[in-house]
Amino acid sequence: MNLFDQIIAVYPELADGRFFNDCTIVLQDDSDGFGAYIAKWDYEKPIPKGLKLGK
Amino acid sequence: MHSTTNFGWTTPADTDYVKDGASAIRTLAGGIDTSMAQLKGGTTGQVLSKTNGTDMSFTWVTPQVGDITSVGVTSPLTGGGTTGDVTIAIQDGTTAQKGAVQLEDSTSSTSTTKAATPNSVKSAYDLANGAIAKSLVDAKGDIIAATADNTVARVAVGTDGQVLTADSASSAGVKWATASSSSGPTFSAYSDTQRTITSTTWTKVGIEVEDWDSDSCYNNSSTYRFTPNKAGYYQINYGCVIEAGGTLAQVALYKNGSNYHFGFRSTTLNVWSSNGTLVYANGSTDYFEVYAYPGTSTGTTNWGSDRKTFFQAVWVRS
Repeated sequence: MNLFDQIIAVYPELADGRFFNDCTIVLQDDSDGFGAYIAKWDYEKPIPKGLKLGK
Repeated sequence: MHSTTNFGWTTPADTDYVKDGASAIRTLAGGIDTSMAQLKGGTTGQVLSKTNGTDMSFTWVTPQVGDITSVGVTSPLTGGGTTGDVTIAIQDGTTAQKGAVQLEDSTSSTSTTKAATPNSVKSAYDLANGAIAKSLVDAKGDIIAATADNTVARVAVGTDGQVLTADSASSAGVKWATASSSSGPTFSAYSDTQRTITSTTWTKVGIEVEDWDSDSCYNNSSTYRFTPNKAGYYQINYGCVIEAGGTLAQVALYKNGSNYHFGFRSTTLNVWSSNGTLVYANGSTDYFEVYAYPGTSTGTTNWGSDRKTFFQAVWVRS
């Protein structure tokens, strides 16, 4: 399950990707082998438990 | 009785009678004999020499060896001789002839026949003493610069292409330095590898094939960053192919790890975007990267080859 899917699992209302497309939430992969991480989280609800901001 | 004018010898007067001629003759002869007494004698080669200031006071002397018997001259003297009055003179000196030279107290004369006075020599010396000696320079290209009031020093030539630059930290106030370049870094790279990236995730685009990289400012193997080493404004072009991108595809230029410039944004699939912007870089820590964003999709997105995905930059100005 990728990071997007983990978030959608907690907040199904984000499934249409709108908040990702407008950069309210930014998932980022620096192609450095560490995978994707949450680079920005401006969504009104907190970051899902088990996830964190930044690498 | 009568006496002769010069020697006072006694002779009869014109009116005297010659009644005792023999006595008169003996008297005259005695006077003459007395007067001429010092002329008597001498030997061969001797000459008469006055003994004192008294009339007829002579003595025979032998001439001293070395006494002048002739006057000979050589140039620049003229005249001379062995008899009579001897006159000698000296010719005027010229550049071709030794001789008498007139002094001239001048530092501006152009005469070629006069000689300088010590005063004019000193004036010339003083000027020369205040001049810069050519021995101060040692090699081709050396220049002379002031290090302080009335003080100069040699500044050795720089290397080819350098320019003379004011530098208050240098003793001479100037130094040779590399001229500011009118150009800066440039690079061009593209991706020739298909990669799969995750949807809804801003993913750094690995652009690994360099066309050129003038100053090795682009990392094409790990970070895929352009970190220019010269401050200034840069034209940056970037593009990316996002195929099977779902509902939205977007490309952005990142500066120092953050989204700086959004490029082409599309809600269609199979997007080939090409973007450009002008940015400023500090020439040390600022860096740039290309990120791609495939929109929401259950699938994945990849980027293509054939220079459809590319990254370029060129320094424009400081």
